[in-house]
Parts: sequence; structure tokens; C-alpha cells
Amino acid sequence: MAYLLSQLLTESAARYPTRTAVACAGQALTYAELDAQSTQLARALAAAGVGRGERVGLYLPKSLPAIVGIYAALKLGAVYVPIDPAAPPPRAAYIINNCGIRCLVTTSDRLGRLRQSFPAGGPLETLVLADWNAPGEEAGPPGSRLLAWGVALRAQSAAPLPPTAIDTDLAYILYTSGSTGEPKGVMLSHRNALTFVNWAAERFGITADDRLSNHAPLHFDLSIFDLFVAARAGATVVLVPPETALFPRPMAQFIVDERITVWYSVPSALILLLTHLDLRQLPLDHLRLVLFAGEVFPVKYLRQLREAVPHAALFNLYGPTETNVCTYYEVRDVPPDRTEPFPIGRACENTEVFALNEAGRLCGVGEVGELYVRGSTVMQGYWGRPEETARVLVQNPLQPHFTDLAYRTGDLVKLDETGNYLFLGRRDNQVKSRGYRIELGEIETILYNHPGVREAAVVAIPDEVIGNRIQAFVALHEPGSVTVSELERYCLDALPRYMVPEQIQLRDALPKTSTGKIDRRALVAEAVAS
Amino acid sequence: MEVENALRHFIATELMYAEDENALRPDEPLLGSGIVDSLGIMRLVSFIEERFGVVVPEEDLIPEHFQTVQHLAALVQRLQGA
Repeated sequence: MAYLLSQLLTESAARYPTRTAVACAGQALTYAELDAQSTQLARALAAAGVGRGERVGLYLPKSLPAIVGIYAALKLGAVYVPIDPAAPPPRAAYIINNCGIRCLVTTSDRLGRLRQSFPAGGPLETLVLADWNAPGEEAGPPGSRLLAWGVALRAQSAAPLPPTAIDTDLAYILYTSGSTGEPKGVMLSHRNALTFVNWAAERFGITADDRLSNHAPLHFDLSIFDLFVAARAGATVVLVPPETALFPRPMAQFIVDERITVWYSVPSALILLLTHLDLRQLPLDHLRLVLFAGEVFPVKYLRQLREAVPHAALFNLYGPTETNVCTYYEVRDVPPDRTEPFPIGRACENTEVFALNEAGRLCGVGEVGELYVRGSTVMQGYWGRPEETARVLVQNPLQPHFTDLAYRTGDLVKLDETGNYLFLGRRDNQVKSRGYRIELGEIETILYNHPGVREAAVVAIPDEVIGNRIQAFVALHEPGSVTVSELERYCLDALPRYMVPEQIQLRDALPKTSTGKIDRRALVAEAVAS
Repeated sequence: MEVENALRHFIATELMYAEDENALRPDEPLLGSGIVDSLGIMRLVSFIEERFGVVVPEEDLIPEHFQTVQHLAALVQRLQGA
């Protein structure tokens, strides 16, 4: 029985050596090949000093080498850290510094940016260049050594490495928006991931004949399902090229051509297809399971999806990155008169969720409370942030007798008469836009960092298709001293594109509440009205 | 050239938040680089339809037409001629 994520691969490689493990843009690796290549890369990384507990960064587009890199890190007992390949260089550099990445798997077109980010060197010691078959001309940041992918792999044996990690060791760190203005690294152990992966593989009956898509980026926790549930079952995971995901018809054609049987994405990715195409016209008979998570699926689009794939099972999954998936709900019929969103459902087997009201008591049916999650899927904390970790990983308020941590989600929910939870909103300023989790406070912090800014407020305007649109209101120290496009560029240099406000409005002053705080409600109302 | 310049100006100033169109070469890749993301595509299509008075049909929403400013200009000119 596998207790490490990497064992899912080695076990399937022994059972199904010639089956395709992963495919991307016309290329593929069998289980035997993925197992061998990831061991070779692991040995090359070990020779470069990577050992148990070390963080290995993955800063490259979604590709076969990225997957090989994930398993190479895991086989060493190291921790993989996927960095958004489209992240602005300062954000990538923040992550590299924050968790002390000494070894980075990347591509040569990023070397220039890395040299600019680390002009006097930095934590980076070894850069593995996935697009180099032989040593190249260009250099990395001072003090770093470059390793060509082809050379690194050819030099090493594919003989299996004995496992060194245990299941409570970290497997990966996923960086997510932080309200203090800096991203925070959610630390997940092998056990955290495997508990979810085992549940999902069993609950959805995934077999070696399934073909799973991977739509989410690797730094997004939906990818954990795609990669590791497939590996556990000996199934094939087909990576959606990021270009394909932008366009409805090529995206739909991918599902048809690749004969995808299991799809998992944020609702907005499905809505893009539903609003542009008549999916009923497409041969989607092989699609047997459609899972979605990350945001509320508007009912009118869910109804269209139900009609487009009447034979497929549809499930709404719920869970912050900190807990993996913790609740689920099967959407069967979507009655024509239904307008209210579907529930997030009930706890996954081997996970417990409960809601507490403001007095800290268990909520009854119909009562609004904050959702808590306990169980083996709950994260180990935020990298290097004990105070923030302690705020959300708390002693189970219902049980004072022994150490037993529960995660406070910050999500407000209500239990309905059928035992399912309904998602109502957030306790704080976190919003979702196209499935991306965004702390409005992080954007405000960036705006306040600009020397010309006196006041800034960032608000989310609800949007049926993408969830929320981000809008900023700014008052300057000296009116006219800074332009909107300067502020937009300033944000773009520090934030991922999906966090840059769609609109920034300059004001002489921002409206205030009676207690002197910026009146965000008034700003939202104004933005909605305009 | 007028179409190409207008597209270049829009993408540079609205999607890249640059000062002017010089931030973007006409042959610069738009997709792999992250210059145009999913929201960017939709804004770009709205801009093309409003500015040039054409309708971008669903079958033309494919990566081939969005590779560079030059590719986009060719698409607009074909739609204008149609």
C-alpha cells in the first residue's frame, strides 16, 4: 500500500509499464518511461545536493518535463514547489526566496529574468533546463550551475531509489494569495494528498481505462486530483496545453479527440465552452464524469451542462487548498425553475466538517456559521508563517481533551434539511475570480506601496461568468501626479495578471463610513450601478 | 498597417499596461508569453468587433489567429473583406 505519492507511480509502473501515464501536445510517456526518467532526474538532483525535505522549484510551462520534475522531487523525499510560469518575475523571486529554493527546474527563456531578479546571486544553486539537450551558452544568476536536461538524465541510472520520506513529510507547497500583500505557501504532506487521492479514486471508480484531463495549472490544487488519481489507477492524464484552454472550440475538440473520460476544472472553464458552443452537437459519449470546484457554478450554465452530457455524472467538489477537497455533492437533475446554487454537499468519507456560529456553538439546520474541517487532508501550515498558521489551524473547539487540529475555512455556510451544506460567502476579503483565489488586501497592499498613493480600496464586483471582477479606487497624495496606466503597470510588475484590477479609478478622496473606515460597500454599489 | 497599428496599440496599452505600442513587436508571440490570457482574449475580441465593425465568428476563435499582432491583423482584414 502506497504511503508516498511517488509510490503511486512506481506501483503503476510495475503493473502497467506500457500504458501511457501522461500525454501532452502529441508527446507521451508510458508508466515505465515516467518512472525511469523521474528516477534519473532524482539521481541528478541528489548529485547536485538535493535531499529529503529540500524544496525543488518547478518554473516552467505545463509539459512532460514538469511532471518528471514533480516525481523526481518526490522520490528524493524533497518538496515540489510549482511556480506559476506566467507569474511576474518579482513574485517568482519572492517564492524562491521565501521557501529557500536551491534547485529549480526551468526553461532557458527564463534565465534572463532570473539573472535580473538575483543580480548578486541568491538561494539558487542548480538550475535544470528542461529545454536543453546539451549544455548551452547562456548563464544563470551568479553562483548558480546550469544542468542540461538531456545530459542530466543520460548520466544517471534508472535503478529504483529506496524511499526515505515518511507520510507526514511535506510533498509540495502551493502558493496562494495572502492578505498581507505577499503570497503564502500552503504546505501539504504525502498523507494530506493521499487521503484525498485515495478517497477520490475509490469514490469515482477511476480505472486504468480512464483518460483524465489536466486543465488546472500545476500550482493550482485541482491538479493534485488529475496527476495522482491517474497515477494511482494506472490511468492516463492528458495535459491541456495552456493555449488550447483559451479558445472554446479547440478546448472542446481536445476533449473529443483525446477521448477524455474524466474532466475536472473550475466552472468558468466549462462556462467558456457552454457560452460559445452547442456541446450537444459534439460526440462526448466517452465523458463519464465531470467534476468542478473552486467557485459557485451558476445554475443556468449548470443546466446547459446537464443537457449537454446527460449520461455523465456531475459533482460539485469543495475545499480550500489548505484542506484538499473536503465536501462533495452530486448534481443529478437541474429543474427548469431552479435558480438557487447547488450545495457544496457533505463531508468526504474519512473527513469531518462542521459549522460553528459566532458564539462558537455547533450550528443547527438553517443557521449560518463558519465551516471547520478536520481530518488527514488538512495542511501542515503556511511555510515560515507560524502566526498565520495558528490563526487558522486551531484546537478543535468541540473537543478539549487532546491535541486535535481543525482548519477554519473562513467560509460561511448553512446546513440544509437534507444534511448538505450551502456555501454563502466569505468572512473576510477573499474572493474568487475565474476560480483563482484572490485576497483583495494583497492588491491594496501593492497599491499602497506606490509612493504616490494616499488611499486605496479594492473591491470585487460580482460577475455571472467569471465570479468576480476586480476594481480599484485610489486617491493620490497629489492629484495628477500618477496616471492610471502607471498604477496598472505597477500592479502588473508585482501581481499575477488575474489579480491586476480590471479598472482603476482615481478619486480625490475615498468615501468613509461613520467609523472612518473606507466605505467599500458604497464603492461596490457605485461600481455595480455604473 | 492601420489595422495592425490599432491592434498593437490596444494590446500594448490595454493588456500590457504599457505607455505606447512600442512595448510590443508586431511579430511578438501573444499566447505562450502570457500577454493575452483568457480575459484578454475576450477584451480583444470585443475591441476588434467595435473598432472594425466586424463579427468574429466562433470558428475563428482559434490559437492560429491570435499568435501575433500580424496574424490578428490578417484575420481582421479577411473579416472586413467578407
